Amino acid sequence: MMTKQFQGKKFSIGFRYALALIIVPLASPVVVSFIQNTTAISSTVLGPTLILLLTLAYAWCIWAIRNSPDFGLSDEEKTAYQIKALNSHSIISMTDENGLIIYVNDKFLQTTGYSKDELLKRKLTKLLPTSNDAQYNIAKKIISKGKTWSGEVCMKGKDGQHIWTHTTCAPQINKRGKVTGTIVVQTDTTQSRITASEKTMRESLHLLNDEVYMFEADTLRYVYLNQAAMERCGWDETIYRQKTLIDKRRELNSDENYDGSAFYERARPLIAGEVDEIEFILEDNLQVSEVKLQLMHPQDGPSHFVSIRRDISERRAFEQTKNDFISTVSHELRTPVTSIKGALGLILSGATENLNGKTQKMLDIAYRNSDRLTLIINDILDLEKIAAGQMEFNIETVNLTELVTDAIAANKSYASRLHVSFTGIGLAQRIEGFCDSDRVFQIMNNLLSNAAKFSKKGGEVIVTLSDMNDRVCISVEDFGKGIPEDAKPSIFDRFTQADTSDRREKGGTGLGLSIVKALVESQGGTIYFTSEVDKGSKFSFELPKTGKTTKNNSTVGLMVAAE
Amino acid sequence: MTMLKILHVEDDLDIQEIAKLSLETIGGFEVLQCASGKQALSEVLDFAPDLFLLDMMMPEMSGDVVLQNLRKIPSLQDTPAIFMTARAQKNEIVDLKALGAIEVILKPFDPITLPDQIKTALSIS
Repeated sequence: MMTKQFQGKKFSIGFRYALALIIVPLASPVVVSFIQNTTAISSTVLGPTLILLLTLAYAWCIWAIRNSPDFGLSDEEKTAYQIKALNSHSIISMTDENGLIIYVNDKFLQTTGYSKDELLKRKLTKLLPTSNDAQYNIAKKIISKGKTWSGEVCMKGKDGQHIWTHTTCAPQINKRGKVTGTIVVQTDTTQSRITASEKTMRESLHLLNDEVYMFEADTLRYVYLNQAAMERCGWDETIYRQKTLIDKRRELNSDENYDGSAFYERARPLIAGEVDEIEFILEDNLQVSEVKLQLMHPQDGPSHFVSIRRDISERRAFEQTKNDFISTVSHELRTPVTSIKGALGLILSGATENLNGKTQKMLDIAYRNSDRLTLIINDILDLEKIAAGQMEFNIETVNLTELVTDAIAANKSYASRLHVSFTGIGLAQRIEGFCDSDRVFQIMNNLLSNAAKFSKKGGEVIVTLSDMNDRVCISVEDFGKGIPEDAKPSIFDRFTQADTSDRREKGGTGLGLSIVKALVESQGGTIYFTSEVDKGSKFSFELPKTGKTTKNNSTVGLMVAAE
Repeated sequence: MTMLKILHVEDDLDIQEIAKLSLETIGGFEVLQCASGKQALSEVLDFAPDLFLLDMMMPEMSGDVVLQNLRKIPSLQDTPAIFMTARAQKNEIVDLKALGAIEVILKPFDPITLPDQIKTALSIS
């Protein structure tokens, strides 16, 4: 459009001033003699005046030529410069009427990482994430009507990187008014987007309730403290930039001999690259804090530590209250049960005096139920302990073949009283699991006694131990009454037994399976079952075979407490 | 054989009664029962027990503190001790044994087998 405008004028402005430079001195003797002839002004006055005027006119001409917008450039040159500027600023591509790429500029290749061969004759949509489909269809519709479309477009580069662009798509229209292709001009806005989101992040970081400290890895000098951290230290931005971690310990904790070696000792696994994060607990008289420490290696600067400190005093107090409660309930419930059960046990044993048949029967019922009450109390406390994370798990490599064999032996007499037998499968070779042997034994006791309990008289229970690559599976299958469909979804819930009359008939607290599930899951395992009424049930649980390397937070915590 | 003398410290009087019946009638031990650590400390020397049977959770002085105080008496420094507790976690049992107990008996205890449990613990130690 601009070239067209220039072409319309015969002489450019600069050219006209240049012409004036030649014409003015040539014409001036004629003008001087004309003025002298027609007026009475003497040549002594006119001469210097004219020289002055001429000089001024010359100076103005030169200034005008210098400032002329088209000084020294041809129209072709100007167009070439514009295209060059456009190419270095913008990502430009052209597509044909079918949306196939027919041209891309160098900037396009640089930004996306593709080569020309990878793009030409391909669909432009290759570079658009599928989430952009709706936007693409709208743009396509507008362009097909011969109009220009502009918008923010996210493209995907060859390495999958997101490229944000401000995009304008203009249709190419032939003489008959038909759209024959599209020119797409894009400006890369990724960097400004990142800058904007970084700014938002930095602002949120600054206002975070947790304290955030960043300090250089080699000098321990602070490079950033957020507001909460500045408040704790009583430092503002100008002060903290001159301080190090050592200053902080010396000034705030009045630990005058602190030299930073304890810090480096703690951060050793981070520096060695063994872990990504270290967590530890800091306790002082006023507060319990949880600290997470990371080591960052930015591309454009020295490595630095990022430490995030969170006040967990309230959480700790709550946990303490809950733990105390469990402990108290445990004691308060067990004390009266001890008396009831003890007294009944002594009477029934005949230690006091002989009983008649009816009294004996009633006391039997009382004793049996005091027994059941004890079991329920133990089970509830077990569940509470697991839920509160108080149950201790001593996870190690366990010989499961031996454990399953022992569990079968331990439940054999109970099963034989019900005329049920156990059969073990897969117990010939040694299979190991990564779990707590006591807890797995508890799980096995539960599943085996359940299976025996719900088997038919003379029935068999099959126990299978199998190796499954990175996991071990133990299943207990009975051929008894099975679980009805409607009871299946709640079989692991508390106080659920398929048939409520079962509880009196078969005993048990109704908590067994929920404990089993909690125990399995606490050890990183899974439990599931299949069952059919009158055909039997099969409960299986899987346990990990090896331990994953996990952060040993408790050890770190202890180390800090001891420090 | 002389009768084994047990000092039983337990604040719950019902449990005291049951334990007395168990230890005396079934076990055939001679038993002195005290409802608090304070009472135990004042009466222990006259009784000169062969074994301490101490409840853990008691007001004023818990079982472990009672034991610490009993141990301060020179003649009782080697007397074996058994704790009874209703708060039984694996680590608690280990901790209690570390305090110098030969056994930890969980509540609710079985009065029929209690004497045997005590005899077994003594014979092992």
